[in-house]
Amino acid sequence: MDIEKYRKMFLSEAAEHLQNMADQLIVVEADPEDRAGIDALFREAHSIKGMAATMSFDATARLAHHLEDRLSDCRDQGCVSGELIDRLLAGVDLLEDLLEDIRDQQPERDVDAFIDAKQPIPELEEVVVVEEEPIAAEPVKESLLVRLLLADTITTPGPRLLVLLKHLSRFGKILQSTPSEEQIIQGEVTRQLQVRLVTEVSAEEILQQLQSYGELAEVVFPAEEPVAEKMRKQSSSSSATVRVDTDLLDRFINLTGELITNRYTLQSAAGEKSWSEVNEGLGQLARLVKDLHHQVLKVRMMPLQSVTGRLPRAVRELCQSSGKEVKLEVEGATIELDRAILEELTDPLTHMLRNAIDHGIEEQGRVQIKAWRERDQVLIQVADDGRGIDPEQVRQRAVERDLINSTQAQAMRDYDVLQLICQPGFSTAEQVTETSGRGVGMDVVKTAVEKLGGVLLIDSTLGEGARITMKLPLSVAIIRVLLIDCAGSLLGMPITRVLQTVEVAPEEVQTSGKQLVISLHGELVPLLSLRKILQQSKGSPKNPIALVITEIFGRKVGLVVDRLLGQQEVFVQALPSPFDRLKGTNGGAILGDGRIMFLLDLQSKLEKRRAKGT
Amino acid sequence: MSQLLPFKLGSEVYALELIDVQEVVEHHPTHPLLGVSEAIIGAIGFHGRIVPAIDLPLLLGFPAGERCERMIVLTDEHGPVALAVDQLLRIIDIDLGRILSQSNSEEDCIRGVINLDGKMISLLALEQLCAVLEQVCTASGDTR
Repeated sequence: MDIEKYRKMFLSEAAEHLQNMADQLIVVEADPEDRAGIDALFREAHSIKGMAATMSFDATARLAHHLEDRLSDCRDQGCVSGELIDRLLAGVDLLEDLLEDIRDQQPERDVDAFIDAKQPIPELEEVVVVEEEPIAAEPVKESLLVRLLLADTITTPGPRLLVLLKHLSRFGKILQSTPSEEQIIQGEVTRQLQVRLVTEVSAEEILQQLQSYGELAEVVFPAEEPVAEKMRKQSSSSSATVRVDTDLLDRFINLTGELITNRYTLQSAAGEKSWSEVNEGLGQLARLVKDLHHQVLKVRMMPLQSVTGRLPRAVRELCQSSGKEVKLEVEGATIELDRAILEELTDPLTHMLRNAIDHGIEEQGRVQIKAWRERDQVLIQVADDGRGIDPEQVRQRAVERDLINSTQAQAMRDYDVLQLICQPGFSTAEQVTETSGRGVGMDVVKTAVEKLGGVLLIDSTLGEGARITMKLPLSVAIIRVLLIDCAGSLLGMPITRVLQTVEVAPEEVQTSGKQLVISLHGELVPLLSLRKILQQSKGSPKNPIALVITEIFGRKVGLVVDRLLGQQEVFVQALPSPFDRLKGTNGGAILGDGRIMFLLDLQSKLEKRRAKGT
Repeated sequence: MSQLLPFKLGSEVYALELIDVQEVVEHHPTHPLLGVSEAIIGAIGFHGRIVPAIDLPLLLGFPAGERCERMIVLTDEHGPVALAVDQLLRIIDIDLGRILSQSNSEEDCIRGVINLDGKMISLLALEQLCAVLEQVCTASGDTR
């Protein structure tokens, strides 16, 4: 049999069965005597075994068979023990690793150690570590996990991380690094570096040596891989192929047919110079293209379930490590989003969940993830019924951290104060714990959401819990933008980033110290000149002055532009190398009239200036 | 034998191997991108793609000025990138063995020099050019 041809199909189907198994295990854990659930588990394991055997992936087949046997025993006994759930979950993890081997065309890793283990639970993490060490001949040395975090003041994290990586390699052999050296070189922007080292040097010694680097905000030796890392690895590898409904494919064929007919209609109408027919044909073409666009987008859509499906596992692990009792409720998991957006949501969602469990909920409680659609946006909310966020505490911390001064702190509304927890370096956690980060939390979430053209909103009632809402576009490729003219250049800003557009008379502009401000609904909003940001000469004075009210680094500002040119839906392209390195723009689009619009990314443009503290 | 596309930067003649050229476009409107190095003109729409447009003379230290209406679009392997030059010349056939290899100074983006009937033609080193461009782009987003 031509294995190559079927490999991909096998991988995507097996991954689906595994996902079902993992979901089902959590369900069965809650109700160990759920016969239907145990039957479903058995069937999933059986399917994997069958598929793997057909494809001659022996180790995978053997492990699936082993799990099937255990489940068969459970069927006889009519229940599943908690210990066995752990073991089955570990088995599912190992199967996922095996799929990874198959995907990478590597020989399958060893499963005998797992199958032969007499103990009911080999610690889940141990299994992972052993599997990650292919060098069987050498005595297996302890590997050490080191996580480094750069200080916020560093403006060029890439090169620093490379230096640190090189430094770490002097201590021993680097088994794995996240991001990898290549990713850093390719410009993956992160402030965190996690390295798994095989070394003779003790953690204390490494810490001592690294402390000479002033740019490091912290050095941690985490006991285990953070949940988010593991989840990302799994989610990114499961997206190589798409399953498309055959109905949808038929619709594509039909549309193509109609387009071909339309082409001939237009051609003959043009030949006869019959303008009314040309017009009619163009109207038809517009309808067909819109329909096609709609259908193509559908292919890229996936239910939120593909991300939230993994969360019960994460919650389970977090509950185990924190000793809290948390119930997770997911609502609206069938809402569909562009796969590119979904892939980027895994980390923020896990992070928000972790925050809720770690900081929000005290002993026991409930976390609710709710998704719903509002026009062409999807809103995803993570709400907990824990202690909530204390705006006073946030005020105090923000002042301590120099994010705002005490006058500003008093003037700000509670709601605006809450948004400050997304500022880099902010953390309200009194105590550092293993599961939650140390002040690198919400700013990472906010950045990720904004990168997708979305907005993050924080709301909380003290004593009743916190609600964090992500407003996301349905698709990343086609978005609605506000077109802006600045010094003859055409710029666009995702409409999700625009709070409001206003035109004000020059008299309405006031000064506050050196800063020009306007009063908007009783709130003073500082003005920034887009021309100045883009290093252009001052334009002729305008009356009225066009302003885009937006948020930069969590603060409301009024951006002074030359002219507002209205809204439009555009197809965004990533900018090709070397433009992908430019700060200030993160994409572009060719408009219907052939003009090129650049997407404005003010935060990246102003980052350096801000780091200097001006 | 190889084919070269020679062009003028200021009063000097440079050339590219024809194999590295995807297309020469004419009268393509350039769309400005602001707040970046002057050597970056902006972008052109090229078969539905956004392609960076570079003022090659400025990038290589020649004086500013009007460039000719035709632009050279390099192959996808090198970007693609559209290069504005001062004047395009006629394609020439040449034996690449005749390249006088250059002392390897890293900055001028020249791979070698050809003596064609007493005229010196500098052959552009594309890898170096791409590296220089990357540098310019990385640096020029920073606000001063």
